[in-house]
Amino acid sequence: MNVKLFNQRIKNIVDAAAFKEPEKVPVGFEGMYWQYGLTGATLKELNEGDYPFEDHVKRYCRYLNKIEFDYTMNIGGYEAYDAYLALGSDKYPMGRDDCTVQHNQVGYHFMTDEEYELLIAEPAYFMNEYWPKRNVPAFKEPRDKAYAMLKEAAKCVRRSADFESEVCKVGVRDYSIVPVLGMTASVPLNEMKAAGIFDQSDQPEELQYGSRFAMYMSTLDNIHDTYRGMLDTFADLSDNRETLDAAIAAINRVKFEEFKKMPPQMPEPNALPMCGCIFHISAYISLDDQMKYWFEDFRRMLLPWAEAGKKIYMKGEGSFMHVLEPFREFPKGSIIIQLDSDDPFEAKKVIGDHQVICGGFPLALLHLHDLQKCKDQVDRCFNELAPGGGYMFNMDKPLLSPSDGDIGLLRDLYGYINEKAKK
Amino acid sequence: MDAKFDKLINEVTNENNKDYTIQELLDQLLKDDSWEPDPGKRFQTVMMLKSKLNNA
Repeated sequence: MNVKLFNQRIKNIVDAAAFKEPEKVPVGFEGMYWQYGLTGATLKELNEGDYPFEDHVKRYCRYLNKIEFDYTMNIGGYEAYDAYLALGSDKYPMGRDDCTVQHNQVGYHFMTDEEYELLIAEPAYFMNEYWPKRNVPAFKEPRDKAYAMLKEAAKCVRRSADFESEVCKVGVRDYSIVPVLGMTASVPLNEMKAAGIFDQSDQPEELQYGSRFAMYMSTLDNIHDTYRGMLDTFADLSDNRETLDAAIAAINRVKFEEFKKMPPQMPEPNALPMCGCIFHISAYISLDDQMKYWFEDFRRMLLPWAEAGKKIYMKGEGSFMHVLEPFREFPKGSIIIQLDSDDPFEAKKVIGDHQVICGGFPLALLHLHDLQKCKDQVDRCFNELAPGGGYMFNMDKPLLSPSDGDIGLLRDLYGYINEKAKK
Repeated sequence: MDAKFDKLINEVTNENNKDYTIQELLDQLLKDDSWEPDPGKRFQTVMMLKSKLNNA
């Protein structure tokens, strides 16, 4: 393993976040199922067919020989579609290309007003018992059959987690890629450290890859994504706030009880792995609601980590420029804001003197198959966003399906990006 | 549990599933080493599965 390169890449991230110009601007890449365009077999074939597990990992990692990058949020995770299938659920069906797992929200039957009352009165029962029995076909079956289906689903979840862990190890060991989020990487990386594959003891603590992190998702996002759906959540925000607030308080009580059972997690000074948080509903609500339903809990939970030196990676979906200003309350350079639909050059003006802007390249540009146009956008990113630090290069969206990006174009483009990223 | 919720609960309960809870099945999975011998991995997997069920 090239430990020197791995350490330098961490230092580049930390320098960029400290608003110092790094030796090289960190270059990120995010893909999920796109990699199956290079595997010579589909995800379904590799996961369910006669291919050995090791062969699946090896084929999936072929893209790492084609595209060079410094960091990633998701290095090998696929949604365990086969676990849902084993439970009789169509929530995450396989797409027609047998590579891209879809999120089937069309057929959702969201929580009714009567169920809202049940959630508020009996939140633990509602979340842990009622909701799975209502939605998962396996739990309409007698105990033995339901258990057999659940066990099959557990094997699928395990295989998916093992796959992600193995891909992470290959990415770190053979390509020195830095996985920024602890959810993917803290266990495999610490296993590798324990096995003597790499040693960072000569590095300052801040630059060593640590083991602790926290993840934040607001309870309003939870209600929006899972229980109430977009339209009814918006209706609640408009004229049913008392019920919505009662539901949030009820869910938070359950979460707090669960939290009390976990071992205490003291913040550590290592910048990586980063804490994570997700923006879903923030794109659609006012700044006042963002403060009430999202930011206050976020601050309570993650400010101690940021003050200890930990970085926070924010991944959003949609446009959330209107809710960025409050992140000035966090220490300078503690939050990496991965932009989605927002204009990165405008975001730089709003918050880019205090928190790190991550992104800059619209995935849609790849579909023009015009390398020069892509290079022009890269030039603009490095000319306008990189000076003075506070910038990490990435695309605005991950490459999901094999058809999302031509490998030849991406290889040439990333060659150019990596050259431009150097001082 | 308030009787006003009986109708809702009856709608998700049938002759098949009335004698077990999801938590009982998850506890059984946690103790069952036939699908995963490593207790640490078993615990991690059951937690991941529970999260998927809660969000189903």
